[in-house]
Amino acid sequence: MSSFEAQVADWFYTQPVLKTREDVSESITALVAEYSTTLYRVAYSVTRNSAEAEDIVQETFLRVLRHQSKLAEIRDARVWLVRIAWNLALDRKRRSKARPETEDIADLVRTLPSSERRADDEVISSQEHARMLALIDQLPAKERQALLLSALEELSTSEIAHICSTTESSIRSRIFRARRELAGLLRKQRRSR
Amino acid sequence: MNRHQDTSNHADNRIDATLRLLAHAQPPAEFEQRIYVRLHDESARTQKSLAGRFGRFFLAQRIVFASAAAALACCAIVIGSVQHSRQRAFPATGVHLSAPGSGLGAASGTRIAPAPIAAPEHARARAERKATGGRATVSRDAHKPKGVAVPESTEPEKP
Repeated sequence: MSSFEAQVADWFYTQPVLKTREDVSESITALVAEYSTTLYRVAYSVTRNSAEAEDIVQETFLRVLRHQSKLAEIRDARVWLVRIAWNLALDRKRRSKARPETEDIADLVRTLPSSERRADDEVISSQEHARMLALIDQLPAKERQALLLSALEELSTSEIAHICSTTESSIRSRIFRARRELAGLLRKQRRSR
Repeated sequence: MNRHQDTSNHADNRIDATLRLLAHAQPPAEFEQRIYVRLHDESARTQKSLAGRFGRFFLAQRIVFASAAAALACCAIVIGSVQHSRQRAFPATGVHLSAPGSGLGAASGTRIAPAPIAAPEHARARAERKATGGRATVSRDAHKPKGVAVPESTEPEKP
């Protein structure tokens, strides 16, 4: 191979790889570092499956990569990312309704560090958590979304309102209604047992 | 009242405990690394398929391109034909000129000599033929070139 051919081959085969490294820009890297855990929790609260939640987070950042030209226009990256992840998780949940769900709640309860638990949490078994989550699934979509997002410490009421495209007062009333309905469902469940 | 309060508190505690559980879910080990790897893979795949995408686009749209090319060719033929027709100078209606030297033309076509016809040397007109009773007559004093025999007229000359 002549030196010219070698140069051309080198250009063709190494240049895309170099560009690839440059393409995963610093801004996306920073977004991954800052929001990946929050997005994982958002996805997990819907799917309750570790592998699926991870897949959803990866898919969220792939979308960011595809639309990285719009990154400069995004005012609140957290709101934008959580909205993408939430929608992806809902799509995944809808599609997976046909097949039996594999929830990792028992694993989560087991692996949760004791520092994250409260004294009264100890007495609640993973089965009880699963029952509670089943009740949460029975809530109307808007109330469920507000309740699950309010559980995340990283998100303020204002941010949840932006994610749900509504006002803060609406979010507060949705959370209140959700809790009231859940308490009612719990009472019913206890009576039936 | 207290019993109702207790029940409500118990329900709230259970709800809070479950929500706390979800809020503290920890991603698996090397979670971020896997995201970076997938982003790198996707980015590399996009770069490699950029050239292929152009090829695929033209391949998928080949019917459209072929139709467009055919339409363009038809337009070129029609426009060329019209331009060619406009460049020909048509004479006034009723006068048909045949192309000089072409050998083609309508029977009624006016034929123009390619060069002006020169007048004869002695400016002499051609013999006038005067038909009388269906026979040609030549006057006696008609100037005839030498050596040309002129038959006698059968009709008697009038004095």
